[in-house]
Amino acid sequence: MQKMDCRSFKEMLDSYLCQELAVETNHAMLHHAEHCSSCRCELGARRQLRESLRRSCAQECMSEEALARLRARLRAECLAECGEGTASWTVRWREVVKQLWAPKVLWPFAVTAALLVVGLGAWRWLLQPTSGGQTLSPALFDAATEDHLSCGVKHLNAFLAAGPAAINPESLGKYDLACARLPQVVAPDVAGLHLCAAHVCNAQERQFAHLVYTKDAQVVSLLVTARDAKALGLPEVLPADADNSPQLELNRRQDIQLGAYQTTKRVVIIVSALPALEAKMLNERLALPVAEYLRRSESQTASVMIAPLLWGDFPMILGGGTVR
Amino acid sequence: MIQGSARHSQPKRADEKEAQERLAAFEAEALGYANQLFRVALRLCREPARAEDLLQETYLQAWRSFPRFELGTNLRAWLYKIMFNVYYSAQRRQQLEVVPVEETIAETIAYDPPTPQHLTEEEVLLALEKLPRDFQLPVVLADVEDLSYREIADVLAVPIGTVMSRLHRGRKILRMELARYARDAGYRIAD
Ligand SMILES: [Zn+2]
Ligand SMILES: [Zn+2]
Repeated sequence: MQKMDCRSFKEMLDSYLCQELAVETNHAMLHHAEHCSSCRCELGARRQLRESLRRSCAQECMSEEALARLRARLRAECLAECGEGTASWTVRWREVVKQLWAPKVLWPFAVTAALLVVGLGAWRWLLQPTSGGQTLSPALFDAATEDHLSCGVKHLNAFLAAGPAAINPESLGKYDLACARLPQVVAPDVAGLHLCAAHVCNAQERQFAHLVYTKDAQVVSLLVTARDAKALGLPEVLPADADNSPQLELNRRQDIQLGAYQTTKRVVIIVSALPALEAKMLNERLALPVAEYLRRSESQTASVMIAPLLWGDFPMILGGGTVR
Repeated sequence: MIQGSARHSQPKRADEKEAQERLAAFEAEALGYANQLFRVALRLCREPARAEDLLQETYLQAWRSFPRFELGTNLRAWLYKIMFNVYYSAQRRQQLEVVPVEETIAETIAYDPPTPQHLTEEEVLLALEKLPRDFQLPVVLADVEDLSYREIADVLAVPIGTVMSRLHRGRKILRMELARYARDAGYRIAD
């Protein structure tokens, strides 16, 4: 049997508790502990410490919501691999939407404010050119504004009347996969936003993936659409600048603030009647992460899902079927 | 308004069913460790939101490379390894930096006091938080998460000797700190 003194016993004690010692050394340790009360006591104390370390660390847990988001993301990845989302997406979406759902009291004000803006009617647009890259066509901003004001408000009303049930799960399942994951891209508590509807819809012959949010009793629309020739107002699509991070393009229609980012295949537009400072914050914290996320997913999933977008065939990607 | 497209609905149903079965198997095997991974992710990222991102990225990568996972090896250690890979590649660092203060810390603790008993969980957690991270991570992986020294070396991408010396010093610092709490609180210290 190996010789063991108190000093080496204490040096090796933790490794003993981790079962990292050779069998003979284990025997030597046990033998020493049997005959040395001080070391026996230290053995007990370290064992206790180890246990209380485990107990105290075990308190840190992942929230149920976080676990649900993790599952949802895995499912999304799995479905992306086999090419398209199916009905199970609907279920996932419903779960995600439920998580994000938090009732607010100030709905009537939001609706009034939004309706007022609609009432103002014909909006003259004012293009603010951005530095570098290709600018988006004014028609695209028109379409986005109209979608925000008509569809956004309509869904807010429906939402008020029927609560979360106003979200149509069937239309949600028909997103293209990259868009279907958007609620996970946007952290639920970002900037006090709450999701109240998500669907595919049309305005001025353009199709949008539309996420209707509320913030401080205002409607906020996050729109994703194809970056096609029409969106650019050009005869054909020119390649996007894929190296730099997406560039913000600002625009407005009276009270309505628009911010847009282009990815290679898509355009992300955020629309709201929020004060300029808050709108700016939403550009950076809502639209930009979404644009970056889409850009990443475009470079990953490459041709199969996204390629048709280049030809303005967005409906195909979004899954066909009915709208609203 | 939108016309369905025949081209669109040409998925391979069988593939999808198969993929869903694979996912179910993966979830059954791997998701049980999510909490444990999350705890370590929290130590790496400090913020729950970032730890959650790290965890999602980790599980996505694990899912993608699950077909290459060797049965019979420790799945939990494998997941940790992926997590540290993801973390460090995001940090553009290959492995734990060797902190210059490491030696000085070790020097000052040549004395190894008896381990105090009757510590509260708060005290233990507080002492753990005080450990420099390069010591804290090996200690957590070994004493809380039950990885073997070999697995920790693999996870942290450092030689096993480094793991052992960091564990040795880390545990020592932890005990020193706890002995100080116990002294301050006037608890009986085992002798
Ligand atoms: Zn002894
Ligand atoms: Zn809409």
